[in-house]
Amino acid sequence: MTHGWMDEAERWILRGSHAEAGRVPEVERVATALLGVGLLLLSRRSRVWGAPVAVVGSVALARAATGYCPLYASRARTADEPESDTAEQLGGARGRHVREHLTIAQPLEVVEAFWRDLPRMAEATRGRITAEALDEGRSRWQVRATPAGPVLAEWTAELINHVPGKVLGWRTLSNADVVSAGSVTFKAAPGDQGTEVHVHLQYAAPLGWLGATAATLRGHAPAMLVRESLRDIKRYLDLGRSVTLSA
Amino acid sequence: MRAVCWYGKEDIRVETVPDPTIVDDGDAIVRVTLTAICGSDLHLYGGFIPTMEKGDVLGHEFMGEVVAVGRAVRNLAVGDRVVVPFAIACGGCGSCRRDLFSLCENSNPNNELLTTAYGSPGAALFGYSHLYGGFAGGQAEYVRVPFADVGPLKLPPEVSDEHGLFLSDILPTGYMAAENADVRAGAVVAVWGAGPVGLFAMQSAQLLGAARVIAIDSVPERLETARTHLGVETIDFLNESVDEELRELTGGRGPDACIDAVGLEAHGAGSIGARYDRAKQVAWMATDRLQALRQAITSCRAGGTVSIPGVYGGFVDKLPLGAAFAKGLTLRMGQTHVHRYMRPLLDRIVSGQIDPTFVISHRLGLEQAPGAYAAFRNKEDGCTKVVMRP
Repeated sequence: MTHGWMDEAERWILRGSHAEAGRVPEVERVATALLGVGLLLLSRRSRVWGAPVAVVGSVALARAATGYCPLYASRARTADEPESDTAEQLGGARGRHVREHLTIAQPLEVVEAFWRDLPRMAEATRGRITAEALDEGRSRWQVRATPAGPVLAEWTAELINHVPGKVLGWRTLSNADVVSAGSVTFKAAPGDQGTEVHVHLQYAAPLGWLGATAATLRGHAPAMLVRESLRDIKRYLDLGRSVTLSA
Repeated sequence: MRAVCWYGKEDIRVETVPDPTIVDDGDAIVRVTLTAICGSDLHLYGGFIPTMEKGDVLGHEFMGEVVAVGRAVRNLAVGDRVVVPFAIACGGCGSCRRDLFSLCENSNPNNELLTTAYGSPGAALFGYSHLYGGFAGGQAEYVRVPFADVGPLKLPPEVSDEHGLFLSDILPTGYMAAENADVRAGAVVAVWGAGPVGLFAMQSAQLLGAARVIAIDSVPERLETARTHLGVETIDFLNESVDEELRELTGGRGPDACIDAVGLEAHGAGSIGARYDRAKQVAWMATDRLQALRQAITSCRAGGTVSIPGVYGGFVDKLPLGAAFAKGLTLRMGQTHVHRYMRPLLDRIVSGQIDPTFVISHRLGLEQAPGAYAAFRNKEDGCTKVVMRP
């Protein structure tokens, strides 16, 4: 079953406010226009509050008509600023956290080597996540809900930490659909049980809790995508081949 | 192909559905030559297991002939005659590597649900709800068998379909129940439920050296089968007090090993505990009825072992944990790791030590499945075990 318009809406939720500096996305322009008209009508009902409500309504109409938002513009980066949003959007207590832990029945070298060999990501997840190495620790990532589905989000990541045999850390670079940073930590499991993999992903949910809730309802929440992808990766490494369980 | 499909509580239909195909390189397609209805299928029939969908193909006890294999399959070839374990196991995860096949970490595509419910993933099962993977079952003409290199066991020509079929579930389940009960030479073993799993648990206890085996049930034909085929003592819980009888039969000690081969739908026949469970279950205040388990715990000998092959699914109430603690009991349970037991039990069948066909009461065709489910559930017509030839 396809949900064309829902995928579009989700793409908008994921990408909307990261578009070019200050530009208001189309859907939002329509919504702002409706809000403006509503506020102007409302302003005629109250003598005390009429004037301020009318001002806000007018600003909203102007924003809708021009498609320019000074707030968005102030949030956008200029060429002089650093190339990643992660410090700004994920600093302190900001951002959402996803933590997953699982054990793969393979030696640590095998498990770590997989994470360093990006083209195998598509094979392991059967096309749901594709990763391609660019240069100097940079890589390009795309995520789909289903292998043949539309691209839900894409970003360029840079490797910011690599302690061989222990941890890989990354952060997204500018123009990421989802600003994120994260790490994969490897530990040899006790008693010859394989390798523990600990994934910590931190991301800025577009549109805050609204975007996060919408994505969860659609089954596309980053936490779920991470968990399902990790299960795919575990199957691939445990068995040495990618496995299709359901038709 | 024709297949037995679930459509709702007490609504089983035989329908024409699409033939299965190879989906993964590790798959095989098996043409089913004999299949059975399991007591645990009655939990689906009664609507006790969530995440069933209309049209789901039932059946996890089946055997047949391999008619197609995927590119990655090495151990099987077209034409092989195989019996297939009810749990689907990948063979490569940590659980499978420790022979804990029914706890396979990889075979269940819906592990999310199971992990949410139980805190840990569990193997997919054939024909047993989407919680357990949503794989079509074997009460059908054909079935897709994933990880075909890991599960199916080839049968030698001298073993008939009826002799081999129960290696898929109930024979290993009965055997693991006795093994879990720590049955040793000279032990007194009490088994609640004289259905097929209970009967095989009794037989396995005898093979493991039990001095006395006591069967507890209320269905006359089942108690009769236990007496005549296995020579065990019996207690009819409708007419006798189980606790008192067990004390008398064991000189006041209680059985060394108690096996609950009943599970979450215990009838308990009018006892206060049974009525309490039934009322709470009807009112959605509890999920499982556990009268058999309560008796097993209260009657077990101090220092003894309680083994639970009967299926439980949710939360229980009034579990006499104090008695279990005071008596220092060992409790062991879980889905059977069928793969582990198939070959040694096949050897016992080939050598004539075990003839599992004595549990069969009805031999039918697939089209008769709806009536067979009802008769089995209502224990009509001496219905103990139904096998069906598609």
